Amino acid sequence: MSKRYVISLMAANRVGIMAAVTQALDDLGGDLLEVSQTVMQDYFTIILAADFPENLESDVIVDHISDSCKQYGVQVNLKNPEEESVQDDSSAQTDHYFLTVTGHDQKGIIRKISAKLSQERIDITDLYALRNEQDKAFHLIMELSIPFNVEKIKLKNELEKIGKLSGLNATFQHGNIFEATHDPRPVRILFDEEALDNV
Amino acid sequence: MPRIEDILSTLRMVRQENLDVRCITMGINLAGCSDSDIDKTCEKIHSTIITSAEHLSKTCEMVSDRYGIPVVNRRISVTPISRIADQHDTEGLLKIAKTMDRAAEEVGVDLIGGYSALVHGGMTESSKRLIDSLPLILSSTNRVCSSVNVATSRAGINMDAVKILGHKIKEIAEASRATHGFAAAKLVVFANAPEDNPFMAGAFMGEGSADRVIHVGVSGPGVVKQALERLLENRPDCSLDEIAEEIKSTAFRITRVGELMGREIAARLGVSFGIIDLSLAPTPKMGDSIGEILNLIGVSKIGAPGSTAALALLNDAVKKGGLFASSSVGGLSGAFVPVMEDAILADAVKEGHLTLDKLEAMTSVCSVGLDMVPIPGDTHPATITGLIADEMAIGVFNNKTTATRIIPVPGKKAGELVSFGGLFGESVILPVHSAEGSLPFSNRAGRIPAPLQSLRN
Repeated sequence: MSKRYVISLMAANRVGIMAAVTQALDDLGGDLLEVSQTVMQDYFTIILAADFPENLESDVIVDHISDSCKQYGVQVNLKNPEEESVQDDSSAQTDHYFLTVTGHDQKGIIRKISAKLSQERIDITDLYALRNEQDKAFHLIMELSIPFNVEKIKLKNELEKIGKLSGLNATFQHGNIFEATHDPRPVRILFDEEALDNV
Repeated sequence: MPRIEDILSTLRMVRQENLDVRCITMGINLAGCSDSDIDKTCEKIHSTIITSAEHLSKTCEMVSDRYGIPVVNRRISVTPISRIADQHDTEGLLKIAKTMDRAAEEVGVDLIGGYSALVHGGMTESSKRLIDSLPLILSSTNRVCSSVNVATSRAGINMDAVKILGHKIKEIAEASRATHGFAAAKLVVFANAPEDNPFMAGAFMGEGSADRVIHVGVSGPGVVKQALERLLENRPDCSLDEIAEEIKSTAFRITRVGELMGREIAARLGVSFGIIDLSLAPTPKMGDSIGEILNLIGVSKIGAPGSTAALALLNDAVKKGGLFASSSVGGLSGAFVPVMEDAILADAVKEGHLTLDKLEAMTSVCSVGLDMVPIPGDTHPATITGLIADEMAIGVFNNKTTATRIIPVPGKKAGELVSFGGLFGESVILPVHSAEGSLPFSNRAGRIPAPLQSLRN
């Protein structure tokens, strides 16, 4: 039997971290299930899910990874999914939309938008934002998972209004548009005529 | 998530570069509406249009909101009316046209095309009556558009019809003298007319279609222009093939937007998806011009030597990008050069760089033809016949669609300005060189035989 943990690691980006981490996992008899890496502002972060032998204590896992990656100054965090109440809305039908906000940086815009999304129980599945330090140009891109029953036009108007009130351009669009304009696969494959949501 | 740059570049196309879906056109089959009783015919036409298109505007708006891309115009094309109205006289035709006008208004559509006849092989009595009625119809309706196909590469050019149309175009313009002959802008004379064209004024519903079908017209000269500007900013001395590549990849993306939205609108309306017409259709708005693209390619005075080659490059690259993007490309698909509707082309006319003769040469390598071309009001009808015949010959002998939309502006001379306002734009009136030097030719009856289909060198 094995036990699953989700682990995040963060450090200043240097060559060799991934090799050290995976070596440590191997030492522990861990088996990687999923892993994702991001580098931002010269910092490196990994989030991974792996299965470990059942008798292995979580402290041992954290200590061994920390030790193995000592020279990189890696911070390790571990979560046991069994102890967390992970939201499970996987049965509800959703559609993917994008909210894009661009303009001159305004403090608090992400807060205002995410508060609205939270109020509507909308999950942010991906997010990227960047403020240019020289000219303060700002852009935010959020990928949202929106339940079928949400009134999209109303939400669109509300989100775009939040942007406008902060002097920013907010645009709320169904995700198909980005796939259609950049993915060379035929539109009829990208777009399921049978599964149209309410607008 | 798609790449950040991809998301931002799509957004830029919409927000800053005037990307839109230029028109969603619903083709409606009216074949079942024919009846010996004119009132019954009109009633059937009305109810068929209303039931087919009642949700068209709302659905376009909904899908437009969903993707954040404007649908500028919603239109309807119908079965050529000459096929429906064969039992009716001019009075009946007027009733039919008024019915179309009213139905279009009721469903929130600004133009309805299909007051049309196909006469390339010869004219039926019904087609004759329809052509004869054009001055009355086009000057007494607002939304009805007309087209006449006078030539095909298989049948040659029906010069009898072209001759009649030379006169009719004068009469149409005269009948709308108060609006400077604007009614003539609602008539397109075609060679090899496509049956699935969504663009007005030449749209009609062809025989080989489903009962109801959605065609999409996408445009986007602004998007192409800005893509080229970015390319040239980084590589000012780039080669023509690099320019062609840039246009192609931009055309791909524009076509995709149209297909995505068209398919969804068709699916939501429960009708067939027809074609996507990828035409660079300019508007008088700055930043939405074919002329500006030619300027960027390096033709600063449009009409100068090199203009035809530059336009050929643009037209071809647009098609190739579109064809890779979608297997449903149809209609006219190419770059339009409607003089009045394109501010930069109109400027080139004003400055004397772009003449009617050069424009005609340019139409041999692009979409449509002599489109929205104002000529002096006193032009002889046979001269108009000659202009149409030349343009038809370009289409017939090169196996392509060509068309004319010529406006002899009543009471105005070459060099004077004529303005239709809004999207129809304005231009200085073009002189017709050696205008009456071919009257005996134009006045001959008959047909120009179909060209060779082989030995084509």
